[in-house]
Amino acid sequence: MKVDRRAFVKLIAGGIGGTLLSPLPWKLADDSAIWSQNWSWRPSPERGEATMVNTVCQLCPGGCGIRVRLINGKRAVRLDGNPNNPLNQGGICPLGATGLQYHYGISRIESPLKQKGTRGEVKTLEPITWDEAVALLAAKLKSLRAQPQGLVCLSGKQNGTVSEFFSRFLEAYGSPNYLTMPAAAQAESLGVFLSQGVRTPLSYDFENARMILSFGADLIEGWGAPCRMMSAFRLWRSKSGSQKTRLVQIETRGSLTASQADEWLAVAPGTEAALALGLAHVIVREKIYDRAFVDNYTHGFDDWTDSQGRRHQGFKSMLLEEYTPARVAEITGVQQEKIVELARNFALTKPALAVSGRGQGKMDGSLYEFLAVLSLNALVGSVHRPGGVSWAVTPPLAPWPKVVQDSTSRNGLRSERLDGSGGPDLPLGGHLLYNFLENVPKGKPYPTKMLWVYEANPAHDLADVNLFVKALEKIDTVVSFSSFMDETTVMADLILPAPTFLERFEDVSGDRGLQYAYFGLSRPVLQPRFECRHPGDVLIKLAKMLGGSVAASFPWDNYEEALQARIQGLAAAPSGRVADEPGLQPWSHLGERLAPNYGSADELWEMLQEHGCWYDTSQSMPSLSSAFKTPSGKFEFYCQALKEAGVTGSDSTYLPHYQPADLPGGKEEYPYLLMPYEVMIIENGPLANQPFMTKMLFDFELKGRDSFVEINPKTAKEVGLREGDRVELTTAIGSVKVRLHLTESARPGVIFIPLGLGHSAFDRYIRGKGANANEVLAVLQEPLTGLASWWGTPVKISRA
Amino acid sequence: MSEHKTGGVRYGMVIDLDKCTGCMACAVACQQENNISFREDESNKLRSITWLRVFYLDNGKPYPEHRQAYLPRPCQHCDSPHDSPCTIVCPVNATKRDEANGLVNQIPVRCIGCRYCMAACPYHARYFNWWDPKWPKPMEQMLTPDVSPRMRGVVEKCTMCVHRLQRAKDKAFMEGRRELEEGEYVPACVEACPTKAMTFGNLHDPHSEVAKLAKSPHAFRLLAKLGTHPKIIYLSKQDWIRKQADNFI
Amino acid sequence: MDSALIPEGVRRCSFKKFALWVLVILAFLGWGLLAGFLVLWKGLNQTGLNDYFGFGLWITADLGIIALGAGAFFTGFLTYVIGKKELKDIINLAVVIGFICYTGAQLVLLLDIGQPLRGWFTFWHPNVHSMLTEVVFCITCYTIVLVIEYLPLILENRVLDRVPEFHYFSHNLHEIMVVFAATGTFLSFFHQGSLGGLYGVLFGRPFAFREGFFIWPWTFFLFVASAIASGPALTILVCYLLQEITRKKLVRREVLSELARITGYLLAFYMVVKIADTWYWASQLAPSEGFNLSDFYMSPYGKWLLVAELGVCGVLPALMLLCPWCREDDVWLLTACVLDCTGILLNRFVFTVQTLAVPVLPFDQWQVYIPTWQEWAPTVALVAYGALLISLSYRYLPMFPREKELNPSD
Repeated sequence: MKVDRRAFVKLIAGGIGGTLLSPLPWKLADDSAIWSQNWSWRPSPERGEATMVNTVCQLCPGGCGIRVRLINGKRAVRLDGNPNNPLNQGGICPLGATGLQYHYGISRIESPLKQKGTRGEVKTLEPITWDEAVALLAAKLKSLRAQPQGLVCLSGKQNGTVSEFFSRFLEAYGSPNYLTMPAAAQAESLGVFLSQGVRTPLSYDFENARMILSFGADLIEGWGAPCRMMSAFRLWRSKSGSQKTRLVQIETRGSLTASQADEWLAVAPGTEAALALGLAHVIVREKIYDRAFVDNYTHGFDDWTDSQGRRHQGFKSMLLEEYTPARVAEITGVQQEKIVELARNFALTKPALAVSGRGQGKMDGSLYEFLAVLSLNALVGSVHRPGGVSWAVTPPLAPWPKVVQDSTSRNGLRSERLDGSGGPDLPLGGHLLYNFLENVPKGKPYPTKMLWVYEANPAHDLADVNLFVKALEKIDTVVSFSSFMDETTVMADLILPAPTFLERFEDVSGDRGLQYAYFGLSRPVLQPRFECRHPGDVLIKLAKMLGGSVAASFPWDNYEEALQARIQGLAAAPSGRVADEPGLQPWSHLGERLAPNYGSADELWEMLQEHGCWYDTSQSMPSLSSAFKTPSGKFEFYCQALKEAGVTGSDSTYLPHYQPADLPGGKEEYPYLLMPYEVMIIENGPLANQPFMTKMLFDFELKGRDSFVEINPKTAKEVGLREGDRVELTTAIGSVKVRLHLTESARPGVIFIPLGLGHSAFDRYIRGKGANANEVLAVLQEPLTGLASWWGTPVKISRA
Repeated sequence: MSEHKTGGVRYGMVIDLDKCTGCMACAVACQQENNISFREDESNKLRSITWLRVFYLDNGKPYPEHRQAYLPRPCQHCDSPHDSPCTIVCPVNATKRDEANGLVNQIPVRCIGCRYCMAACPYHARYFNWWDPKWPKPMEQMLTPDVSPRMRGVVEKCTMCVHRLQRAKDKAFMEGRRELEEGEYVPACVEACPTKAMTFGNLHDPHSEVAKLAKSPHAFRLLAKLGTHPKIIYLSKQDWIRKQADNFI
Repeated sequence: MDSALIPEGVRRCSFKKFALWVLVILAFLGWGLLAGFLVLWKGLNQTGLNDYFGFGLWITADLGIIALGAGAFFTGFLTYVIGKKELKDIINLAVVIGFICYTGAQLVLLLDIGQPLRGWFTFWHPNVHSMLTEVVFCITCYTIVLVIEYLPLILENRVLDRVPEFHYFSHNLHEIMVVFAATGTFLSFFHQGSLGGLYGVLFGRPFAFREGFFIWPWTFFLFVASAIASGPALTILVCYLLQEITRKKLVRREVLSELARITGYLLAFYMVVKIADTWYWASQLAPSEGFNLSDFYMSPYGKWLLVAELGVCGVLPALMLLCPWCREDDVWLLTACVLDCTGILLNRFVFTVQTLAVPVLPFDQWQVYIPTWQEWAPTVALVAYGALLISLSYRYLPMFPREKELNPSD
């Protein structure tokens, strides 16, 4: 058949018409739309029964109660605050809210790893079995046992039973070298010891105070237990009239705490102690201090004569002579009238408390600054009084049996500590990590053979971070007990992955500053995702393999058992409750006894797992007449304990005083000052920002791979730089490339750099974002204490 | 206030900026609750999906008079008469205001991605999926089944966690109740807020906490002059913050 | 080679030359198609658009060419409805331009929506309150009208015309063209208006928002006026361009002058109402919403835009076109037409991009939009598509009824 052109055209036209009239095109359109709604690469989350279980967060030491929403009991899809928890009152911080990204994160370590190549090389880290890993470590430990002091443990946790497990292991093994990461609690404990004779951090009754004077503590930006502080902040803001709480922030940077405070005094960098003493001067001069307290319970206020008949200057005359408002105004840059007004306010508003410790409190801090602020509390009688400061309250946990020692461990423990703490130069003790790092390369006083790192990331988090990296070169074996591939873990020789906070038992006793006893129990709500083991269980296993007294010191089958043993103490205490109802306000019942809502230790254990935490208000503040364990039996403005420890010097050595810091680098070469700052949305600790948090950073904090530093527009103009300019910051120890953010929250002449960015390890969502401030921040050690009292580093700025 | 009859249900939120510490827990909780996707680099804020975005405010004064504050901005769920700015423009009815409760919802599977609603919203509360949302394999485990992940090329926005409303209603129904009690339905951001700066409830119920707070002399709404009738109400005792709410104040 | 297809009695360049020309056009088209493919494959992340600038170059281009394509409906209206028979000289060209503009706009729109596969939802789940729904319906219907208007011209091709069915069909279409012209005018009027309404109804965007008449904001009427004041100008421009390229006279000069005169009046009318609207907006409406005029203009979208749009590309060409000696001088006429078209493009740009650049929240930032090459390419391809269609139509269809008469040397 011949198809002519006309027929062909007809055929085509008919075909088109017919197709259009048929359901085909409509069906295709519909199908394509449906396809676009169900793209196969779009995940569809598995459905199932949803349940809520309680536990306690361990992402920071805060110890908030959290609830986990589970699907089919095996998949966690949400974390939120437990309303029954007295600390966080149902709220949650950004770190807690992003918690599942840690648990399900891609930088989790899947099995024990052994470095078979060069240290620091990720590719040559080879998976090994747990049996191999533990055997390897046990063999090493056995071979080092003759010189047990060569084993060092660095813990990121200041308290908790797992940390105690580590220090216990070291004690049984025979090493005095248990160290913790820097923390404000260090200077605090030392200060309390020197002035009150008890080595403990303080508790702060923020909820009941009517005036709070914060010397640089960013109280609502992650200080202490962050959610507790934010709950307290809500309380301050909710009260009105005569009950209203007044917050005065003394800080160099215009932080959010400064903005949200009722008043912000912008002080010159590092002069907080001077201001505290200036305020004390006015309070003393105007005689508005708490006479009853100062006369009856303090020592060294007035000039005094010691038993040898030597005349000593007292706190009062030192203040009156040296800290006149005029002089303090000159040092701090705060107007005299302001100083006088604030001093009067502080002395006359009751109760009032003063708190120190820069940022979130992750720096050691200066002893004298702490003493200056503490003496301000003493002057207004806010020591061991409601609404004031007292000692940290610890839950009455049952003690473990004493560590069993053999001659090796006794000998080892008698050796000098590697950080020199308690030695002739640094008699005041404490965990002096920076000294340790300086001593390691020198092999002083003896070589460091093995370093354990637990819940800490010193390779990123320590100021002058290269100190740590250099020290590692001289350490034979580095073992990391981490859940994540952080910077320190990458440099380890042996990696023993720990379960995450949703996979393990652990206790959290609440961070710094809580005025009632608190015990939080974190428990495994999910099956471990990988081959990870609880560090406590690993230690027990190691102890058993080492045998002898070490094994005898760890008589438990597993960590859970050891933890349960301690709960017995809580169960036996006459007062205390498991928090099982919303809206608890323990601070309103300080000193009151609580009827336990459990009958036995077993029941308590069950209830703790169900509800998360136990608390007690009965351990009231100590009575003033018997509280102080100092040589004078009183609160000592003039710290005689310093003298007893062998510290010599003029009278001012023993009194709180201000001394300008001796900063590294000349003013000529480094004309500006670089100060670190912390914000809640940038995690500065062993963990790093997960995507949910990083997403919330402003584009003047992080843009692409660049992080920003804050600089005052005036300062920027001086150096001819503008918003967003790329610059290089150089200090005496190194340099970083950053961009500039011009803001009036920055003090002219000072450049503020955020802590917590610039990771080089972890995963692709974390690494390579911004600069690590610790590469340029120098450590400044207080000569007397050896504590890192760093707060600023001279810096020069140049266009990059 | 809105022109809708009182006595009905009009869910709204009061955010006390004097209690906000800018910690962003609300925004993070929102991302987890609503399966909001993320990318390796989210620093281009013009393409980053944050149903609840936190804005930075400052008073523009020199150091040390400088003050800063944060302003969390969920969708304002505008209650303007007849239609919200975004709902009136959608050509395909992919976004509508539920007149039973005042929530402005979004149906991503109906959205054609024309972005007209984004042009209409002065609060930048609407977000476009510029990329295929992708989660690293292990993190797919943390996706909640309550909210479907979206696809590339569609607009998404804060729903005030309307799935929680449904859940609360289901629960009430099972218990033989027809009305929800205050606090039974709360969006994830409000629940997370550690300073309880956010309060949520029925603005038309005179006994509700939100209705009481909304009457505060320190209350204000964003861009009230435009006639959008937002159901998010802010509180601040600080004049400079209130002045930032509207070019007009 | 293709001489059988070329209309009788006219001369066209050699096929080789033509093929080379088409190849150049196809290169641009190919570039556009590549960009389009990238956009469809990888998504709109290929563009410079973002959450602040949901609309950008493509929407500007769409609105621009739809406005400039208004020459089709308006010339049709003048020719068939008003009865200005002399315009038959140019009506075919106007229709082709209209067809190019409308189909081109829809092709680009397909790229612009995030889910092109669901584009038809607009018909299936229409929101009758949305101006965009109105736009989509009107544009679709009007495109059909344009096809109907274009069809007889295609069927007049020498080869096709030999088919008796086609011949009669096209003849009969010619007879009833007045009906389609009227329908087209009505549809066009509405969608040009609703395109303006798109912006005027944005009560959250004080830069664009306008009060208005009944459900239509003033921008509705302004867009209609601006479209008919610029569409014929483009027709004149294209006609000139075609005459230059072909080195032939295709349309009588007096027809162009007449069209220019009408354009002049329309543009003058538009400028009067536009300036009135701008004045009311700047002095009353925006201040009532808390905005000053200066809040709306910041670098790079500064006040120069206002001066350029209303002054240099508005009042100036209007005056030029109203001036008889200006209209009669080719250079002046073309300058005026170029300015006129530029002004309307500027207007569409300002409504599309600046509306979105102006921060409404007082603490928000002024943003700038920079299109990527993936956006430029389809836009350029749009022009190439027009060039291709006009080239083909000119070569193979009797587009200019008086071509033979005006070029006796052929």
